[in-house]
Amino acid sequence: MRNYEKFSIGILALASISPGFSLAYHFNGISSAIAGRSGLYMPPEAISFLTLFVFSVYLHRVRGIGLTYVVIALTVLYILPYLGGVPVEKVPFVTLTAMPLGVSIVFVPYAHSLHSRMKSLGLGYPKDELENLITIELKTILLSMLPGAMLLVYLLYSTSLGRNPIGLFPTYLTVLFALLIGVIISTIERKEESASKTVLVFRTYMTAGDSFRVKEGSIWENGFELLLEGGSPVKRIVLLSFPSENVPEYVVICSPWDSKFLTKKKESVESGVRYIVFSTSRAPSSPDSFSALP
Amino acid sequence: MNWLRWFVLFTFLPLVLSVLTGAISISYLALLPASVLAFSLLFETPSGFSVERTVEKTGLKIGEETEVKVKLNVERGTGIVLVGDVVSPALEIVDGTNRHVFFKLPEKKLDVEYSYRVRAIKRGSHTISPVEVEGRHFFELEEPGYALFSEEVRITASSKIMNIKRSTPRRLGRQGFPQVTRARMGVSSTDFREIREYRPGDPMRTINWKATARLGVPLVNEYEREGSLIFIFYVDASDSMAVGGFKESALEVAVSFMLPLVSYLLNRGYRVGLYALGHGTLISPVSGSDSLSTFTRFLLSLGMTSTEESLSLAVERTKRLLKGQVVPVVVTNLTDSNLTSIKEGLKKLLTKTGNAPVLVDVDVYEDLSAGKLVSLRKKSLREELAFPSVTVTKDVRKGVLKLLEVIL
Repeated sequence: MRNYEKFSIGILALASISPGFSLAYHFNGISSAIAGRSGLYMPPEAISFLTLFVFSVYLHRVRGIGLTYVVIALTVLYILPYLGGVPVEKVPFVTLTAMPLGVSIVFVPYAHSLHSRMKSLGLGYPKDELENLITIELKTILLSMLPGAMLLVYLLYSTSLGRNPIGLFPTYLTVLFALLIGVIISTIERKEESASKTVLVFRTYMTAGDSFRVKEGSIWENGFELLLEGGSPVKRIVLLSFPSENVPEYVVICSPWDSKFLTKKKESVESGVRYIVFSTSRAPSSPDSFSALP
Repeated sequence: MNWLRWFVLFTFLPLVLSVLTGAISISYLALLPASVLAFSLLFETPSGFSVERTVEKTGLKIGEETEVKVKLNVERGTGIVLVGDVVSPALEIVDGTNRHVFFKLPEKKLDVEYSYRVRAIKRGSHTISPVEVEGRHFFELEEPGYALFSEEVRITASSKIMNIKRSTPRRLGRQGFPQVTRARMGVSSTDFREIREYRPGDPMRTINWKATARLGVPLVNEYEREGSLIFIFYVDASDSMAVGGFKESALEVAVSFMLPLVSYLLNRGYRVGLYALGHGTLISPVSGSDSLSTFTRFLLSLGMTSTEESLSLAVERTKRLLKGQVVPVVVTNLTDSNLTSIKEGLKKLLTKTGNAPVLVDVDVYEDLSAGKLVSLRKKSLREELAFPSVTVTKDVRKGVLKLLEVIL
């Protein structure tokens, strides 16, 4: 969780820069007052940035508002002074000050993903591996951002920071480009792989014997029962797997001390084998899940 | 909303800002998330897993450790790879961890190896599940891939059977019972015991001709002797034996107590039988050290049961065995709640065998805060029963010697 906390505060700091500039003129009075009383000049941009940063950290960390929503709020604050049009001479300034916000929005979805992953993988996995993972992922994101950044720099250079964009990269093309990506993503479907064998996997967390044996119990129309016999009772993860061609709708796992009702939660094909996972829950925090299921 | 949806949303955000402000250049910022998104389309979910797992040894004594080594190979895709197995709670992970998370980089095979050590903390046949592997697409564009590898590994953990020969008192008196079995000299019964090599003097009718022809050495059938002293143990496996926690429950103490005792009695030529109260399972009285493995297997797999079975009912179910020179021994955790049931059962045993049954009371309360008070209460309950009794604590050696003093 600590990594996420640091990361989210970093994003909020980055995202606060843009509205810090756009709203700076509101803080001219405060800046003058500080300079008059203490003799210390503080730029209104800095005061504006600090105010927004502290407020956004308060909203996110203290009030528990999601990072995404706080960044959207900062974005709204950024464009408020420019609604209805920006004078041509101010366009380069507006474009440049929008850059921190533009970079931060790339990392917000990642932070969101990191947050949910930390909740599910926090326990049981080595901390150093999880930390190492973040470094690699950030590098991968930065690497994949590079072509876009290069094109961005080229476009900003060619248009004199947006002063003369006509004919270079028309807006409708940008919209079409973005829409095209959306269409591609929406049409992505996982290839239906063929499987010659099916394995049923039953995973649950329950009180069962420490050294149980599995026996077949009752068989119903759409499901069956498995009995775990023997051992001393202990709360534990039970993971069973059986090859089978008939896929039941549900499975009941019973030990002398507990029973669980499992339903199909996931299906995956790997190396010609179809794995069908039955579980009681797919909540990320549930010990039923091998890992957080999305 | 997952990562991807937010990403698509944020790709459009600069375009919206551009329209609202009229500054077209702001829309160029969409190139940053769009570039990341475009890259994500090139990635696929990690797949092409292969796992090799080796376990140093699968037979352990309690307290011993073994090493588990896992090699993971991922051929394709980009994203997170989770790997792990489920270790029985009776196997404690003492070094390393059995769950790992790795990142599969694009165009680079992931080849990793890790190991961990487990220690057997409780007797029984414990499992390490097949290795689970999950591959997640870097941008969660696709459903995670999941696979299981390697077979389930079964690790057998057994108690160290202590040698009690050296500490056995020379004279263990109990009036009416012989110091050593006289069965070796008695008349053969019809109860088959074992096949052994022919020794001069063996009657011709005992030769097992089929076995002799098959193995090419003269073999004879050995039968149990009439008049052999029989010890029948009724070991309680009901919920009352769960006291003391998972690792050191009363049942664990009872099993640790039974193993050296049975070993000693079998080595001395006595016939030993065992009935698991609650399970309703029985080992009919047998003799000979060869039978020890039967008892060991039985006791190692003996677990708790929530099925209630009174001692009286168990006596009724085993009444055909209670003939001859039978010494019944009841191993239980005597409490106020089972006192009446045990009393009735002991009385029934006395009636059936003509010998006073011995009560072995398992006391695992010594570590508890009110342990002394409970032990005192148990003592008064034993006195109330007025049957020969022995207390067994976690130091089972004392209990075994005490019981031998009482029964031999």
